[in-house]
Amino acid sequence: MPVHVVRNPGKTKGYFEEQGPEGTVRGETFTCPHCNDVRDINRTRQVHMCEHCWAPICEKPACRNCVPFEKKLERMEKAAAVAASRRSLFKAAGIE
Amino acid sequence: MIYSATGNQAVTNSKTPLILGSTTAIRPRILAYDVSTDGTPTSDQGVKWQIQRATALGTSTAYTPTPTDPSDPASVFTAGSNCTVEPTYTAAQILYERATNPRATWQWAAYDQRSEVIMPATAAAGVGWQVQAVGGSAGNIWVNVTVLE
Repeated sequence: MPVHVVRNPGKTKGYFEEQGPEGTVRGETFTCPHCNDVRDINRTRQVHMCEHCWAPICEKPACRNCVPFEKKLERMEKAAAVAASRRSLFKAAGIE
Repeated sequence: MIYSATGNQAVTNSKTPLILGSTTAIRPRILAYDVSTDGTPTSDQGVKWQIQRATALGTSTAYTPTPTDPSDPASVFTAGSNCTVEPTYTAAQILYERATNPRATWQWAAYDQRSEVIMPATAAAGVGWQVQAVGGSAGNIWVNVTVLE
């Protein structure tokens, strides 16, 4: 999936604030819709945009494929449910 | 329903002050958190911490998440403070990492639903805050988190 590189992703969906001894630093963040990682906008400067869902994505090559994180969650949950039912099956059969 | 949870621990390398755990019934969403320390720092060297996904929650002191609306029922997700056995963190699943001045308070908040950090509806799946480098910090590291479920 091709990506666009932009300076301002527009959709800055989170913020951070650091109150330290030298003063307060504020910045904006975005959450990658493909892996759920949080990234700073001001640190990365240039942000990749997914051409499919037009949201800012992180720099990981895997995130260039537009697979929404919710979809990945469904897979994780399905895999965990299958593993749990296998375990209970083995237990009932006295194998485990 | 929105809940807040807190964890703390003496600042120690590779230790987790707060771990959140999901269940098969819900997908908890992290709306905001802050990280701070309460001791007098020994130097201005930064304390480094990471937010990571976990597949086992380790052993910790149970913390009962507080609903922001007192009439809300008890939370389904779990929270644990001061891990004595570290959670099993998923490799290469660092949601965020930062080194902050030990005198600093760090806050993060999601503006909208698309920015929230989501935990899967899987038993023992969780998200934890782990100290990676103590730096010049002393005393305890505190993590406060706001969670929607």
